[in-house]
Amino acid sequence: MNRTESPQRPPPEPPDTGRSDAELVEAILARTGTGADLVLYNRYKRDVYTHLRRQLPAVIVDDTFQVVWRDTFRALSTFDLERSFRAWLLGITFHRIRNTRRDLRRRGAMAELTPDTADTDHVPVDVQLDRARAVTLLEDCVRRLSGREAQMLAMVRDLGMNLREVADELGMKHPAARKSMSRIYARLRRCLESKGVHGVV
Amino acid sequence: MVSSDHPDAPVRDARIDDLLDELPLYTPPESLDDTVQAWLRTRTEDDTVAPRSGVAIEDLVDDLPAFEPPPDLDRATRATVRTEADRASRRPRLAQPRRRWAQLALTAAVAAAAGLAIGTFQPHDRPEVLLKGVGAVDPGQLSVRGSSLGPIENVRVGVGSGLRPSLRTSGPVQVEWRVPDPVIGRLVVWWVAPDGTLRGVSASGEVTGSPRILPPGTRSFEVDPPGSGTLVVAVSTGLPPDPRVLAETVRDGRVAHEVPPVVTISAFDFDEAVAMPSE
Repeated sequence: MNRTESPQRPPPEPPDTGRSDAELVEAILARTGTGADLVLYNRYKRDVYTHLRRQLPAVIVDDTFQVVWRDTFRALSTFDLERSFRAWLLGITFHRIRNTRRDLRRRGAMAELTPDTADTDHVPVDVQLDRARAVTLLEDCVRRLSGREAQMLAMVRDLGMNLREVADELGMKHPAARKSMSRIYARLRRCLESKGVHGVV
Repeated sequence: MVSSDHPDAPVRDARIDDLLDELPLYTPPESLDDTVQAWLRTRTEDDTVAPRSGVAIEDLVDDLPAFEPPPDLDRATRATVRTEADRASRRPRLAQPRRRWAQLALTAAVAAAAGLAIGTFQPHDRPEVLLKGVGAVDPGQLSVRGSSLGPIENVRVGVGSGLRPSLRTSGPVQVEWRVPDPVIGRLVVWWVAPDGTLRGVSASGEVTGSPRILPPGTRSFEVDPPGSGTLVVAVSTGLPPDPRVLAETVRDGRVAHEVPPVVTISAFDFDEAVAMPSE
């Protein structure tokens, strides 16, 4: 790869002054927040990018990343300031992930664009002995979750939401959310076992 | 967070959670980060006034006319080209944009083969793309195709024109683009094998998948197609929108084909271009 850097680097990022997400959104909407949108973006860009990388074929992650941020800032006026901005952003991210995956499946391109993974490699892995490899295999298992399942996992693990909050957010009944979470962990366990990872269950 | 024995507590598996904790976190690459930040700096709160702003190249391609071989080709060539286009369109469940990209590629390749003039130049301060042959390629086995087009740098590529510059190649090609701030769009590069197979070119120049972004400034990457084929390059304003540009191209919520194009591509440097092997 032969890449020439842009002759003009962008100006430095505005400092994250510790304002809350809601304050930043208010500043953006009131057009008084110099750099508030950049602060929000920098606060959560890694979150968004990580989820996209885990759920989508690598070759379309960057484009989708841009679309998520475009959608986010366009919809900002609809954001309920009482809610968690991170959860809202995550919702937009997973909505886009689901749409993109559906689109790829319709095109028959999901498999084509999914990079080869180690799922055909059934060399037994002892989690205690080969943790790095187990993590790599688990990442592939997470990629195989449905968009909804991945979103639930992120809500519980990344956002610390309880089942009632998850159910409310996704419009599910509480028992259904509970069942889904059990199923997600069971799927991950089975997936790891199918890849020869032992020592998890 | 509620305690783990509370009925609202999520069902967790500690051992799986331990592994999940170790999943890698990803940071957007610098070029992508720069692009989005540049957009945020130039974004106006009213950028939604353009309903098709941020339009994907696939959407633009959807507006293109159906493929028809150029009329002044001989009958046999027209038949061959039609067959190729039909074949591309018959692929099961291929998305429309892909089929149309196949059509586009064929259009451009055929236009080059036929020596057709495909545009006129109107200088704007617009994104520019330059394709150059690079690397150790044996010039004795190569010939420049399409030179009969004449001053191909005068090609004007407009939204919905149905034409994209292309370069037939069997060796590495350097794709260089210059995008004036704050106009930011997407560079789209496809490699088309002689059998019509379409592959995207990634940001690193690998012939693998999807088109990529077009950050402001001057950058380049190298494409090394697997064998001879046609490189097709297009630029869309994509994301983020520049209202000043979109104002010219979006009218009543639709792309207005008759207005000046968003993008001008000053395409090939034939002195340095590397092309397909002699046939």
